[in-house]
Amino acid sequence: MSAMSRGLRNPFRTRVRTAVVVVLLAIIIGLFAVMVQGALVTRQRLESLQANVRTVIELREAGAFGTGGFGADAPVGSAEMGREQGTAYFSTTSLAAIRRIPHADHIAKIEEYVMEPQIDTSVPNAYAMIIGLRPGAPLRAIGEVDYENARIVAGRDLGPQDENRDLAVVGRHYARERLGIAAPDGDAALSGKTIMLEGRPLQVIGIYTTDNDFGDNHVFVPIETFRRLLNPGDKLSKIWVTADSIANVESIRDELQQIPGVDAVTAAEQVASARATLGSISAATLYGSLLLFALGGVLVVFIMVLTTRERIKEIGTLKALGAPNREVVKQFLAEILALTGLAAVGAVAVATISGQILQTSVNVDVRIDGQTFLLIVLGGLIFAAIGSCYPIFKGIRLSPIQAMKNT
Amino acid sequence: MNSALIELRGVSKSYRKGGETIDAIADIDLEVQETGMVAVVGPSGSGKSTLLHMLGAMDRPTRGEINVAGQVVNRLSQGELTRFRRQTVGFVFQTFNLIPNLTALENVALPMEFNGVSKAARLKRAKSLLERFQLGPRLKHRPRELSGGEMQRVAIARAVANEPRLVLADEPTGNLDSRSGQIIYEVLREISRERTVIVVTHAEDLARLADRVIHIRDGRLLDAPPMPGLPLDRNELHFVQQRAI
Repeated sequence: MSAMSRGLRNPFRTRVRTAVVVVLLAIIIGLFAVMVQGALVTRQRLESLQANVRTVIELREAGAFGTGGFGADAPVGSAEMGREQGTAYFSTTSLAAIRRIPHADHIAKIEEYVMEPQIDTSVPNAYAMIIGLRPGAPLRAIGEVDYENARIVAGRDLGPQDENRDLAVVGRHYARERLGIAAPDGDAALSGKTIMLEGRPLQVIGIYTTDNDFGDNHVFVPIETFRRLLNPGDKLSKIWVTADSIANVESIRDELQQIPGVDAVTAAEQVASARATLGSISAATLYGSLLLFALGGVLVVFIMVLTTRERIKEIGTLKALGAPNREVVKQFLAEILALTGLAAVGAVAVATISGQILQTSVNVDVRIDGQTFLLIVLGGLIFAAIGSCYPIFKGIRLSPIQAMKNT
Repeated sequence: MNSALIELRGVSKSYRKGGETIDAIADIDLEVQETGMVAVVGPSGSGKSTLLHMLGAMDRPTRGEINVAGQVVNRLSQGELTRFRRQTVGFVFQTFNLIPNLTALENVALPMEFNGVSKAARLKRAKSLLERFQLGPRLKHRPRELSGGEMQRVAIARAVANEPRLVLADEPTGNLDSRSGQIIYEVLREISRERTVIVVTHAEDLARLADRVIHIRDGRLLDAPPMPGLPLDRNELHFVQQRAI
């Protein structure tokens, strides 16, 4: 039987202790791998957030809330819209001005138009927000604080087949107050329902809700229909500007603010908050993995010191029988590799379970992939290397006479 | 005519303990011929085991020269000492020192593995040795499944596995009952026909079986003549029997 075989068999001499050590090491290596993965994932997310979000500046029409056409700006198509009065307004002219600013890249025009008409002239202050959007795009209603996702509760959403058709999807509040649909619980309620926009009847095909009345008082129409009926011209609702680096965000924002009729908003606060959260998770996982690494190292060293001391007589005997040092070293290396190998198998299970828990609890997507396996193998090898130091040192230095003295 | 296998010239071994120098072995000259059994007797602490360790290259003398089988042991490097232990000497310990998770067969084959013997050859020889010592039915047994006498026979088989010219046994019957001890005496006596066996013992019966008895006291060999009929005593030395070889 070779030294490797003897070493691989040795952990099974003390089965209970080996089982305990393997379980503890499996937990430590598994958690270590997951925490390192977690730290890497959060760091990547943080870098991505900083690289992308922090460099993005949102441009709105001056005084507008959330999107163009709501607030101090003039509604699309209105007499005060700007050009007629000779004042600046949020349009493709603003876009041209932005393009002249150095380091401001990837300018995106958001093709979404909003107007705030008085829908029913017979009812005072019967306003609703008309939003033109590309059919099939998500319905994003402007709620009390910010955009809110809308969901269809009756009929259907606008689809690609509805381009340039005179159709509308209305909010639940609007349907109740303007169309007399109290309980939109079926398509039958929509039968024959129309709204008038610029003198054209639009067939109502769906009702949505955001669960608040403010957001439920909109009318969504296909963008081409919106353009055809309201003629927005070169007016835009929103522009996104991406700075080429974080360092240039502040200066670009200052230059954007100089453009007439434009509000420049950065997501600095939101990013700072996300950064703090992700940073905390990243730091916690990093320190946690270091702590686990230290614990694993101490455990392995402790066990191997104990094992070596128990086997002093055996090592001495082997040397008295003429075993060269390399045989003793090989035997202990095989033993610690067997121990950490078993632990690595258990660590895969631990990593899988704890990865799921981490994802559920703090929404960090820790995938048990090749990198995790690599970390587990690496962790096992490092612990094996740490654990084998003492027995190798002791084994090489031990004189066989000590075995005789132990008899 | 037999030649000297072992020659000791002016060998001393001293060590320091608590600032005091203790002479474990003091200026010993000794010759031991090839083949036969030599018993080393003496009270506890007289230096018997120290002498045995130096003969087996497990300890170095402070002064003097030890020549075993043509090799000056105290001048060998660590690697040469390991090879010397593997090829020239075999050890038998009082507490057997078998590897607990190996079978009797694997324990006996172990020194041959260190000596580069092929697996088939070492298993064949190990089996043959164990059968020679009436352990044929115990080949696959682990040490905990063997009696004390059986374990010591396995240990003796292991000691002669590489066919060394010298076998060193330190109190080989110290942990055995008289019946098991008697069997061990016979086994050692048998193997001494082919090689030199040096036994450190307190056992009177074993010493009587030896071809030569060496007395040691306070680290020195005694020149006292034999005093037949007197029993061996742990605390007082008596020359019991000496056979010229």
